Formats: sequence, C-alpha cells, structure tokens
Amino acid sequence: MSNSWNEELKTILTTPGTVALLATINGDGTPHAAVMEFVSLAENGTLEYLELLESSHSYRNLNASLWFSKTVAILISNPDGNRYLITGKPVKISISGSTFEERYVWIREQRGDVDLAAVCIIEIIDVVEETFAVRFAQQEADRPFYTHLDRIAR
Amino acid sequence: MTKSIVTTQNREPDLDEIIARYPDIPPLIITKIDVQRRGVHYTERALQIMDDAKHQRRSAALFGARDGKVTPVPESLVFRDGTTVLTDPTPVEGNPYHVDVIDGLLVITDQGKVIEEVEYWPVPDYFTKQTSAGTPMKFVVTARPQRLEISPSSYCHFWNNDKGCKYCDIVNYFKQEKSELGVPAKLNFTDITETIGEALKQPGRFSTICMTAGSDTRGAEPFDNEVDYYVNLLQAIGKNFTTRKFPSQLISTALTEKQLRRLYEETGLMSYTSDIEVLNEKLFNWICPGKAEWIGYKEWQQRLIRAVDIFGRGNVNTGIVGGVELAQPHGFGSEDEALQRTLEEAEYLASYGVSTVLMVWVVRPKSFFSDQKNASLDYYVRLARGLQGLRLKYDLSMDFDDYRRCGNHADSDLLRLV
Repeated sequence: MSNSWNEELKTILTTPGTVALLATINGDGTPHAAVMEFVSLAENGTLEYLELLESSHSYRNLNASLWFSKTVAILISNPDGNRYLITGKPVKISISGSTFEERYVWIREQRGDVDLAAVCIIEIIDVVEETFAVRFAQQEADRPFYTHLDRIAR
Repeated sequence: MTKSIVTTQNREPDLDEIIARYPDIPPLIITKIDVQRRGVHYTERALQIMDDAKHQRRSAALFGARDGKVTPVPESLVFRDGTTVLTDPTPVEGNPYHVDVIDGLLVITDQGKVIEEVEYWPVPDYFTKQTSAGTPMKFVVTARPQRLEISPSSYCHFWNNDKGCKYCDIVNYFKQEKSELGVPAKLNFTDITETIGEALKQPGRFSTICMTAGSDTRGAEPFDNEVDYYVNLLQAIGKNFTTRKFPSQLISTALTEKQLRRLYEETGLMSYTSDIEVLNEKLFNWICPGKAEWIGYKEWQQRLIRAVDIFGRGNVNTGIVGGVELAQPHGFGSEDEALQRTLEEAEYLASYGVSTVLMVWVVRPKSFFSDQKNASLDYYVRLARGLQGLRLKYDLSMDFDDYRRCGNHADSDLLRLV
C-alpha cells in the first residue's frame, strides 16, 4: 500500500479517545469484532497489534487469517468523527523473542498485572476514509439516484 | 517407458502437492511437519549470521541429532506465525531442507526454492550464568522459545538388559554429551532452584516448565526412585513461585495411582504425560520391550486413564513416535492400515479423557532402528488431522502441551484454531 495514509493514520491512532475495532471471521465464517486497545503504526507502514488474551476469538481468528491468507478489517474512529476503514492481512505473530519481551514489559507498565499473548503484525492492503461528511459528499456526487426527492423539492 | 511410469507412481508427493491436497490444514503446519521429517542443513551463510548474544546454540538434550554429532549450530527455528519447529542437523545426502540467507533474509529452501522465512530460537539471559556451585546454568535447565526444560537424568534403566526402545538413542547420546560437552550425569536440586530463579528474572520469556528423563525402575515398588526424584525436583522448582501450583508438565514412565497422587499432592505439578510411543500392543512389545516388561501395554493405558482422575480432564496425554508403527519387519504393511489402527487406539484413550500427541519419528544413527525410514508427509498430515479431530470430538483441551508450551506436536499446533 502507498504510504500516503501513514501520517494521517499515525495521527489518529495516537489521538486520545480514538477507538479501533478489529473485525475477523473464524473458520466457519462466523464474524467477530473486538476493540483493539493497543494498536500502532510501525515505521514500515504495518500495524502492530498487542493481543492480551490468548483465549480470545480475535487471536484465534487472526491466527487463522495468517494461516489461510485471509484478510481482516480494522475500523478506526477518533472523537471528532473521523473514520478510516483498513483492510489488512496478518503477516506475523510473535509469541517469543526480543520484540515480544519488550512489548510484554511495556504493556505491564501500562496496565499492571496483565499478560501478553502475542504481537501481531498486520500488513495494510487498503485504507478507505469512512468519515460521514466525506462519504456523504462522495455519494451525493457519484450516486444521484440515492437521493429522496423531498430533499431537492422547491 | 515402463521404468519412468513406475518411478512416477512411486514418487512421494512433495510439499506443494500435500498443501494442495489438504486445504483445511495450514500450509505452515504442513511445512513444519516436513522440516521435522526431513531435518535441516545450515549453510555457511546461515551460520555466519548466528549471533551468540541473540540466538541459542544447540545445548544439552535427551536425544541425538541425525548427523550423529554434537555441534554448536543453531538450536532450531521459529516460523512467522510463532510456530516452534524442533528439528536437527541432517547430512546433506539425507535430503534435508537448507537453512540459508537469501536477499538478507534467513529462510528455509528446498532444491534452491525459498519455502519460508524463519528465525533462530532466542537465547535466554540465564544461559551465560553459573550456579553458586559453578555449574553452567545452560546444562541444568535448557530452553525452548517459551518453555524451560529439565532433563534430570539422561540414563534409562530399560537399557540395563538391552530393552531400550528401538527408535531411541538416549543412553548412547548421553555418553557422547558427557564426554564432549561435560554435561553432568545427574542434577543437584540447589542448582535447579537457582537456575529456575534466574530464568524467571526475564519477563515474558517462559510460560511453562517441562521435566523428562529416562525411566528408573528402582525402588520399593518399581519406579519409586523415579517418583522420589521428581518430587524433590518439583519441590526445588516450587521454591521460586508464590503459588502452590505452577504451569508444568512431567513426562515420565506410566506410574501407579499411588505414585501419581504423591506427585500431585506433594508438588506444584499441573499436568502429566506418559508416552506410550506406539498405539498397538504387538508393536509396543516389539519396539518398547522395557516398557512391555515392566508395565505392559494395557496397564500403560489404564495408568493414563487413572491419571485423568488425579490431574483432571485436559491435563493428561500420551505421546507417540509417529511413523514407528511402520518400522519393518513387524510394523504395519501400509500407511492406511497404520493410520486406521493408530487412530482407533487413540480414540479409546480420548474417550477416557487422554489426548494423544504426535512426535515425528527422527531416525537416529545411535538407535537400534538406525537403518529405517520414517513415514511420508501425507501420512503425518493425516495423523495430525486425525488426532486433533479426536480432541474436537471428545471436547478435550490440552493447554499444557500446545504450540506455545511445547511446540513439538503438529497436531496440537492446530489447537490454535479452537
């Protein structure tokens, strides 16, 4: 993916009050969504997600997505209503090694006595701005039939 | 022409063909199985990027490598999904995968084709330290990426009357390690307490402790000495924890209910494994004559089943040396028959709450079976899928022996999906 979104994503991901949701599916197609509390944009343009629950559906589904080359969706929304929908592909899951141990120490400094299951690296395939005002303006311009008549009546 | 057709028919399907044949099994896990099955050869380039400050070299182990040497090559590999691959150096003429550096990345290759990016196992901080008695800690407790491993004695008493398991090289390899590395014959408990304490100073590094050793038939009742040793060992380890129980696995001889109760009640042990090695009575008697002489196949099964009452469902399992059931001249005549008969026996155990896990048979040069050949990749994939299928059917968890806390069983890697 081009790096054109990187600065915007980095800004929004570090804005207090920003919420990120991870949407995955399991092997039989059942969807699942969870809040991603600890997600950041790495220098190489990938997302780094810290999974704290080894027993979570998200972790299993991320693992399955990596194993079977499936994609996941991440919706990021900041308090001003700016939203971005990311399509990504899990490419690495670290459960040991220096990066894992650094993040393990960091997360425990942030959250106290919690555990870390994995450091998940998600490659960004596509980013679509989902901010309502932007999407609505696009729709008005591109899909004129999607308009109720009373909105344009004299 | 006829010759060419015969060759094609006899050719084993390669990795890509097997991956295509089993779309429900992750390609990385199939690759892991094949790397374990065929072993690895480290190229000079791969050895040059080995960094002792970061990577773990081969250390003391229970079993020898396929090349019959004790060499300071990397301990083993990790895949990009975190999967641990336990494999060992193999002579090039044995057709191993190659570990190489291509375009700056550490990879495994097959006939020059890049298969996967890999990493070396990380070396734990305590490996450079010594106990107060001066013993190198890496000889006291070895390590996997998330597991501490203690092999308190590398001697197996089944070998006393030449009744060691026929695929095993434990005593021969122990003699080699003792002379070439100076690995102590038996560990002392103070060294163990100190080494575990030091290992736990590295946050996030370890999630379980596993103990295993050769069988010790001695004692008032057979194997009482082995139990005494493990009780003392586990109590020495337990001094490092604030909780009475700690994530741990003991892989031992099949013990009596009385012996197992002692282990459970007097120590922090949380799970129990006793490897039956081959799931067929006739083959067990042939391949594991010491186990057959001292305990017997049916009693081995019953002891595993009784262990579930003590350690709980999901906390007891048994290991098989996958493929050894095809050893000749007495093994099964076809992989189809071997698979069916093995899974039938595994299902009997699963119905009583005992999981079975697969270890890919490594034909070791210092074992009785040194001239045999392990099974096809297709067989191992079907076996792994079958064993995991039984866990799903009988709703058996196995957190103590999975991808993170062990890493040696392709079938239990599949638990990551459920």
